[in-house]
Amino acid sequence: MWFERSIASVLGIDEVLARELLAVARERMGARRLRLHLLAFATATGPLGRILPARIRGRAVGGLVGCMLREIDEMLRYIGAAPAGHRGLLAG
Amino acid sequence: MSEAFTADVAVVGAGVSGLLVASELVRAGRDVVVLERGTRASHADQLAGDASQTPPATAAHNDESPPDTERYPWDYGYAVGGCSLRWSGVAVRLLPADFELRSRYGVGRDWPIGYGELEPFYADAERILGVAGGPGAQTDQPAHPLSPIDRLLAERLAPYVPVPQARPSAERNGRAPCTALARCRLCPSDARWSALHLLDDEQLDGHEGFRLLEATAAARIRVRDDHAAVVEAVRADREHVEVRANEVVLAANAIENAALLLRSDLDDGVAGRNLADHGHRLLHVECDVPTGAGYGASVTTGLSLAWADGPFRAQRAAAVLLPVNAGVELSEVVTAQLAAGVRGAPVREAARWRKEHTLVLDTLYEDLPDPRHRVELSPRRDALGLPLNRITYSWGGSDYVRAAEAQLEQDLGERLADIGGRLVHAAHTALGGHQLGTCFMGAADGVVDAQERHHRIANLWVTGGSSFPAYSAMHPALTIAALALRLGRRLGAV
Repeated sequence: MWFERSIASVLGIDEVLARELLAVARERMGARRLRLHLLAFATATGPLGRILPARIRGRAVGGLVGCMLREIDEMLRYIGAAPAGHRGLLAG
Repeated sequence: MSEAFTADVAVVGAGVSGLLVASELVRAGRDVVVLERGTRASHADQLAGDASQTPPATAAHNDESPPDTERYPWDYGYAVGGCSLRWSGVAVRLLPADFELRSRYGVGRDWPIGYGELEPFYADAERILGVAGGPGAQTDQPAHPLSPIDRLLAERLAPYVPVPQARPSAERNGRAPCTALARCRLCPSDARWSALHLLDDEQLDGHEGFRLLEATAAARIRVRDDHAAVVEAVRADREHVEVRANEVVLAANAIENAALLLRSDLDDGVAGRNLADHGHRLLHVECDVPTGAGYGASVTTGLSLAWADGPFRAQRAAAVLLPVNAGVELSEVVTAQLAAGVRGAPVREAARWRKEHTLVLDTLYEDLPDPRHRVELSPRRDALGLPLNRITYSWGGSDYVRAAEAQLEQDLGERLADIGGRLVHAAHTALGGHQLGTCFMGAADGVVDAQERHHRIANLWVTGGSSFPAYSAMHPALTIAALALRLGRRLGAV
């Protein structure tokens, strides 16, 4: 899907991870809201985004990014660190 | 049309205080009616809402700020379970010195009771809440292990101890232990204690001596001959309710306890004043070494007491510091990068570096009582026809707090110099969750006496965060629970 490729490219990750993070966002916000956020994200990070003030660009991408990277496991996966979601790793 | 109830004791508020008082009274054979403005949502119902978010209050806030002032973000919710549905679980005791601030350091107030008076109730509260770690640690609930961040900081920010927290580290009462998913405001597994647990664990549900009136807001206390005779209440459907009881316990939060006294014409000139909250200040400290952020057995596992007590409190506030194991919110980092026009691998690399090299440190400060910070009744009314609570409160902190912030941040740079620690961001956040002080315990100058009995109305008791004469820097939940147990046992023994 084009938006998975786009998200992967913009965020510097592979398409598999992009697909997984988008699935998380879809579960949280629903398909309809996700489409709106994707549109805003694509606009703000595409050629048109260059003429937008940074504040507007931030608001446009923030909704989607905030929903994809909300929990600690998602953050760790994004940066390529080991997941923290089970007690074996969490034993400190 | 109105509905009438009678009971040995009427309790206003079904949060930590109210349900703990009620459970002690029921255990002692008393008939108890508990009135709660909000409704009951089971843990499953809360999860069905949104598992990663704070559970919603079941009734709207009814506070306002004075005209032309900025609204302070009071963080509480009307619901059966109260704020225990949305707390992080930190269950620390106050320090002995916190009860003697005036005697030791010449500022603020002393409590009319000492640490020793509350100590046995602290121990019982830790048992009931299933607190892991801490001075009263139970052998079956050892402290959560220190996280990698804690291990980096423990010596540098000594004294440094595991955070006592009401997240069991082992199975308890049929509930799984903490699953360490760092979603403590609404625990995914119901391990983190909430007052709803009392309904099951203490078998309040279905007990013949216990009646819970949900969606029923206490409107006023009818007083005759200096005796609290009736609690008048209004239900969400605007039907009126009356509860006649021998004893009346106000066990709501510090805003609502004060407002109910004011609505009952029990304004002694002190009730509602001295409202306080802990000023959380979140510090971002970048380091030259990896911090280990992202790992830990719960949201926060270590507590620095380096600024918690000392003669300095004559001039500046005490503070406690708790590292946030999750570290920085990556969504903020990534959003900022994208807004700045960065794309692709550099975005991820910036996020990775920030995550791995940034400490996020939650700091809490005590403040001194300020009678200008207060709850009053507004001429405007809420949906139930009750006056809104008009709250005058400003954050920015007093000079006492600002001096402490400056000192802590300076000290931090020195203590973390060997790992290149440098403060890059500081902001007040997570405000409004610790409402304290509006009906404080005091000899003649307080609203209630050392037993939490109202000074004029002998059968009226006020408990909870509103009773605190001085605030400490410590999270108040365990002390609120200990006070409730103490009061419940006292009334149960009468």
